[in-house]
Amino acid sequence: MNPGFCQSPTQTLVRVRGLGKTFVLHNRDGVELPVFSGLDMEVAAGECVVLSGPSGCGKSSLMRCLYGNYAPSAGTVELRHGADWLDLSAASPREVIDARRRSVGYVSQFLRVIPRIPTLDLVAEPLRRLGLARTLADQQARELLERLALPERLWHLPPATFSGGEQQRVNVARGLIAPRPVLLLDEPTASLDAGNRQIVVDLIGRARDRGAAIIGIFHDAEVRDAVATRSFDLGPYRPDRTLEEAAS
Amino acid sequence: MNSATAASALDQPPMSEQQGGYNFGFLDEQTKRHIRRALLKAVAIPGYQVPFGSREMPLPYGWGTGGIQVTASIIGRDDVLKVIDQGSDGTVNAVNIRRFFARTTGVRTTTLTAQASIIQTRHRIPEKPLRDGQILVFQVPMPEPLFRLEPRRAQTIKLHALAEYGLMSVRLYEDIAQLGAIARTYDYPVQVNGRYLMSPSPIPKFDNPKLNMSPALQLFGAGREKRLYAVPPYTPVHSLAFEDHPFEVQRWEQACGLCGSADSFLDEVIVDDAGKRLFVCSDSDHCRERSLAGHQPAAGVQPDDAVTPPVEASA
Amino acid sequence: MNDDTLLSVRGVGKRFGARWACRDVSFDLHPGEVLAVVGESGSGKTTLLNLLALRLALDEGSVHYSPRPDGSSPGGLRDLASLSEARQRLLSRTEWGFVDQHPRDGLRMAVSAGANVAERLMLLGGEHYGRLRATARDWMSRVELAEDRIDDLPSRFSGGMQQRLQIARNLVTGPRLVFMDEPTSGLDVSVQARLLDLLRSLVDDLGLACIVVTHDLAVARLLAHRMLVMKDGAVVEAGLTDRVLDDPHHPYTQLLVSSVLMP
Repeated sequence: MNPGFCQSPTQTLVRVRGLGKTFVLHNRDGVELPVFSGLDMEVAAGECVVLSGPSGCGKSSLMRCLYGNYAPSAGTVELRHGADWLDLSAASPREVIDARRRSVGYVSQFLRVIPRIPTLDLVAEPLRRLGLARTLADQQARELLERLALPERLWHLPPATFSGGEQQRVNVARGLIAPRPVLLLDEPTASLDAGNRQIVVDLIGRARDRGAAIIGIFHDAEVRDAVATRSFDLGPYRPDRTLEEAAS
Repeated sequence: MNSATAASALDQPPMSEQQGGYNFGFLDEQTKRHIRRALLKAVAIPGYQVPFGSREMPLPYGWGTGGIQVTASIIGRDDVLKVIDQGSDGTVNAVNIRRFFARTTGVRTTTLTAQASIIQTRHRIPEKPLRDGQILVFQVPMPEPLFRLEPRRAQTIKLHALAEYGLMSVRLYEDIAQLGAIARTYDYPVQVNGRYLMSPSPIPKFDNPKLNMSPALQLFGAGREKRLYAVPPYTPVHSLAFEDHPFEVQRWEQACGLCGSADSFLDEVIVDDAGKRLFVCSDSDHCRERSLAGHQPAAGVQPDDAVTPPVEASA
Repeated sequence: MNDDTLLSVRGVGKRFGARWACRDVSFDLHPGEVLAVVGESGSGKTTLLNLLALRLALDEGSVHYSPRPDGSSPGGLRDLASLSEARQRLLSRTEWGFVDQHPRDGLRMAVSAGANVAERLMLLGGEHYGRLRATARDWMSRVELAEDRIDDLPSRFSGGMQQRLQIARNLVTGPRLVFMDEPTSGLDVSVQARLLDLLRSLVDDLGLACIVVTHDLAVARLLAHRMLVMKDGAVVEAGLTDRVLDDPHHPYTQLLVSSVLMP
């Protein structure tokens, strides 16, 4: 296990400065779709920041920028990576991959994994990538899947045929199993019933308590209230708002 | 020129070298010099195929033009020439080639291996161990050992240059995998002086061990392919194989029906219309020598009447 | 360029007459990294692959490779053009692999599966038939081919199996860098899927660096950490695979991504 992230509670782990994202659709005559601009944000160890704002305001886009999946149009996204800061927006692919391996985890709404790999292997993989021996990694994966109440008979099957809730639990397991300093959670409890939601809430709480910096999108108010330490509103960074403010 | 003290019945008076207008040894001096230069290069790089300007010879390709050109280039007045074909001095080819040289050089010819200074051969090495000072000239149809595996000359040149001979190993592996053993029984590939892969010409693999560390100079000529190569005396020549499938020579259950030899290469001969078979030495000189020395075939074996061809005088 | 850079490509280009088939391509590759080179026909991706694998001569630029340290020569990047042909050929047979698009181009069709797999070992001096055969069997099973088919000719295998055979043939010397030219094209979809799974697990298990040319974005997403997108001989976009596919910037990349049919 990685002990390096038992951070002091005030240590900043995510630092976003002047972040902007605009899509340019070249195949639609170059029409520009601005999402947000001038966004500043800092998240410290032990915080769980919930992104808020109306639908379509760029919450998921911000998450993807934080993961290196989207390239920002302006500004920087810095993550605490090992002993240093890594600017994701300027990092090489292998640096981003290394950051995803060790420092930042992502749980999305949709299970997007390599088909035909059994569930247990999927869940154990992040630990194996950290160098953990297969037997240990598998052991921890089993424990986590048990905690998430995923029936054992499913563990050797690929998740493609699972129900929505089952897939989501695999998603959560894979995203949370390796203790990384930064966690990005995009609707982690989607498709889960109340009981399973609670389990995931507990897991998130634990991650937060051990010093992870968590940024999340939670539509469910109960979940939000249970895990969040503060909220971050993307409103001020929306393109029309910015124009308005500039006009005034 | 004429040795009055010659003991053998084969001594003949020398012919005039202007016989029929031919130069000594048929080829002109420039050609012989060219071939000798090529031979020197071949001797300097054992097993390496040296291209040469192969001339039109008075017999078609496939009948030994390469061997003849090599012999013609090195033969001198004091040489004694033996010519064999499949071990025999008496076949049509052997007789004709021997007569050719007798006519164009006047040089002494013989069927006795021990007496010859130059032995031109097709498809066999004499049984009698050769000695320092003898030259063995092989007739070679296809000098490239990799030809069936890689027909492109440009590629094989490169493979030889880089000593990339995995292809041949693949062939031998495949033989063992499909047939249980390496299937080559003649023209068995060898590695010369630890470097070049060489075709020893279509001699039976039985003869391959004789190539190794021979006191004789071994020269190989391929007239149609226009290449020659050489194995200098006392050169290591190693037949390819695998550690766990080592090289083995052929063995017969029978012995020679004429001289009783149990360790020479045997030909199987049908001796009558009823299909009766006899195994006899392929090397006629060897067989005759043993018979004359008193060796007998094993009891119960009937020798045939017409066997060893008469020792032929040069024409 | 880091200390452990495996392959360093700078400004490589190849011309056929007046037309540049590919030009000004630069990137670094590290051990264990899989790079996909994506583009349509005529984009220059296959030319690029052949240049890097020394099958074609460079007209511009340089390719540096860091050979396996063997104690006799110093480590570090060497200009491939400075190596003798013998050294280049040895390199391509020991440290590199090349999986051709059509297995018939990458296999010897006239000899058995076992001979195909063991050939490189024989080239390197392998002289023990039994051990060569055992190694061949081992690799056949690793690529999920039945070991008892070791003496079958390649023509008796299906296309997907021939491709596996080609992969085994290349991996037997433990290469560090494998070039693949459309490894799954022409195969049935289910066969493709299995082959991709195999490639993925081999790459993972063996820590292979790969350069995979493909026109199929799904193959790139599945196998590659990074991508180059090529059009008309030039690299129009490069980066992390999921970034390029999910947030394409260049017009051509956007066109490619939006053109992919979703079942």
